[in-house]
Amino acid sequence: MEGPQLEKIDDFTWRIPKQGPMRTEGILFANETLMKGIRGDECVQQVMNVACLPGIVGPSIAMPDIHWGYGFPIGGVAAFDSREGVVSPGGVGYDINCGVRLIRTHLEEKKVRPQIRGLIEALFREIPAGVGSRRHDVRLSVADEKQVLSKGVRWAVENGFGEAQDLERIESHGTLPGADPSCVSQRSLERGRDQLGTLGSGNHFLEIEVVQEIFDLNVARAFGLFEGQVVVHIHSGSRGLGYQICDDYIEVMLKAAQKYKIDLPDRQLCCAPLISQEAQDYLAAMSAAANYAFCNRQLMTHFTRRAFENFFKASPGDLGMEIVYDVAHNIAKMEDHVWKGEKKRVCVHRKGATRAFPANHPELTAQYQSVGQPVFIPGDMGRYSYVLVGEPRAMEIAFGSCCHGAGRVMSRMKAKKASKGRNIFREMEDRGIIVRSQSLDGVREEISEAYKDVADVVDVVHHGGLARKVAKLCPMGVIKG
Amino acid sequence: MKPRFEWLDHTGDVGIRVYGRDLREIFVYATKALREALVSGEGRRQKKPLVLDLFSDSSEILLLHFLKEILYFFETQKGLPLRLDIKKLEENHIVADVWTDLFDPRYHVLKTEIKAVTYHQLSIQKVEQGYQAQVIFDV
Repeated sequence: MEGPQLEKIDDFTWRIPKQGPMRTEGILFANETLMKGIRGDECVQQVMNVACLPGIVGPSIAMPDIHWGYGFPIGGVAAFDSREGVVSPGGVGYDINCGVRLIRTHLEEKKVRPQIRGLIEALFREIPAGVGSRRHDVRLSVADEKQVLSKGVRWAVENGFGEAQDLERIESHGTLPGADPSCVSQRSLERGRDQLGTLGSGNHFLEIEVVQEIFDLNVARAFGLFEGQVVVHIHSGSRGLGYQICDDYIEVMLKAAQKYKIDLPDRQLCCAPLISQEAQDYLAAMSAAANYAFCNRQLMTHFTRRAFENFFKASPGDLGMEIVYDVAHNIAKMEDHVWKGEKKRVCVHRKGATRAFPANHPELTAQYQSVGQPVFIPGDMGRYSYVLVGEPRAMEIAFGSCCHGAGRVMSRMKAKKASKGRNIFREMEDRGIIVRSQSLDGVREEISEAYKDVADVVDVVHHGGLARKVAKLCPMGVIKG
Repeated sequence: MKPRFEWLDHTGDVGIRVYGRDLREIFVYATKALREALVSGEGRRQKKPLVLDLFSDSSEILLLHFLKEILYFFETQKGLPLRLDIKKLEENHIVADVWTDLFDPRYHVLKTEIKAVTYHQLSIQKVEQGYQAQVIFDV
C-alpha cells in the first residue's frame, strides 16, 4: 500500500508534513530497519488523524515501537493545550496506567538460576495470572475500593502491602491527584473488586531477570543495579476496572464530540474540550483507574516479596527487594512544558509511551534528581529488556516521553499459526528461560518472533536523544498472563 | 458455503468479520465468535437466561452494545453465551434471551482476555447475500 509521504529529518527522525485537515505535522522516531515495517502501515494514518484534533501543541508524535491501535496509534504521544485542547480516552487506551515496575534484589544469578523453576512456581502460586484472574484473599469492600481509587499506593502502604519509602520510587508517588471515585461507574467498581493484585493476561508478565550488561555505570549505581544481579520486572495495569472506565467514557465522549462540534476522522478519537465537564469527569475517573493500577503493581510487589522471603527463607533486609521505579505507559497527565520558548500547561497523552524526564526535573524524587528518571522497556519473553534514563532532549522534542516496548509485528493469530506444533515451553527452556502460564494460547501468542527486536527500538530512542541506555536485562523465569 | 464468521488479522487486537442472511444471523454469529474468542469447551447450562432489551442509534452500535453486555456478564457473573433466543430485532432495538453456561475451569479453557468491544472499524453492511459485519475487540 502506498502510504503518505514521509520526509527523513535525520537517521532517527521522520516528518509527516501537515496536509489536509491536519493542524500540525507528525514526527516519527524510527531507523531505516523499523521504517520498513511502518511505511504503508495504517498507524501512519493514525498519527495524522491525531494531528487533526483541536488544541494540539507541537507535533503528533510516534515512537519507534508504533503499531496500529484503535483511534490513536500504540506508541503515540500528543499534548493538548489546557485551555484550547481536548482529552481523549482513546489516547490513553483501555488498560489505563498499564505500566512497568522494576524491583531490585541483593541476590545474584549464580544463587537463583539453579532454583529458578521452584521460584517461578512459588510466584505463580502467590500471584493470580491469566484471563479474568482474581484474588480470593484481597476482595475489597466498596469503601476500600474507593479508598484505593482515591489514594493509590498510599492505601496499600497503610494496609500493610508495602513500605513508606516505596512511594518515593513510583511515578507521581503512586497517587494521581484529582482522582474521584464518584466519576467511576458501578460496573467499573464491580469489575475491579477482586482483581487487585492480579497480573491479567495478554502481554502482561512477571519476570525474574538478570542484569546482563551495564552501559552507564554511574546511572546504574544510582538505580542500585549491578551486573549479575537478579531483578523482578512486573508489567500490568488497571485490569477490568480500567477497561470499563475507558468503555464508559468513550460513550460520553462520542456525545461530547457532537455537542462541542469536534470533527472526528475516526470514532475512537472521540474527545471533549479539557475545560468541559465531560473532560474533567474523565480525567477524575482515569486518575482513579491509574491509582488502582499503581496499587495493583504494589500488591504484586508485596506478594512477590513474600514469595521470595518464604522461598529463600530470608528476611526482607537480606533480600533488599526495593523498587527501582514504576512507570505508566498508558496515561494522560496535566504537565508543564516549554514549547518553542513558551511555557505551556498541557495534557500529555501517552498511549504505549513512557514518561522519560531528565535529571533536575522537579517531579523526580531526590534520589534520581542528579541522574534522571528510570525508564523500563520490556522486550519479548525470549530475548531481553532495557533500563534507560530520561534525557533532556525528550523534553525538547517529545514532551518528556520515549518508547514503551518492542511492539508487535505479528498478529496474535499469525503468532499462533507460527507456533503450531512447537513446544514453546521447551524451546524457551533450551534458552535457559522457564515459562509458566495458565494459557497455552497465551504463550503461543507471545513468541519472540511476534515482536520487533526491542534492541532496534531502544537504539532509536538512545541515538535520538530521548533516553539513554543504562542496562540490559535477560529473563530467567517468566510468568505470562 | 462461506463460514459464518472469520478472524481478522489485526496486529494488536482480535477482529471478526461476520456473515448473515439477515441481521438476526449477524447477532447470532457475532455472539458465537465472541464466545470462541473467550473460551473453548462447554459447561453447566444455566436455568435462567440473561435478558437483554437494548436500544441504539444504528444496527452496528446496537451490535456493539449487545456484545458489550455479554462480555460484562461473563466478566462479572462468569456466564458464557450458548444460544440466543431473539424475540425482537429492528435496526435500533433488540430483545433477546441469552442462554448461557457457567464458566468452569473443569470444562472450559480460557483463551483470550477481551478488554472491550471497540468502535474501531465497526460496521454492518448490506451485501448481495444479506449482511456483513466487522467488530474489533481490544485484547
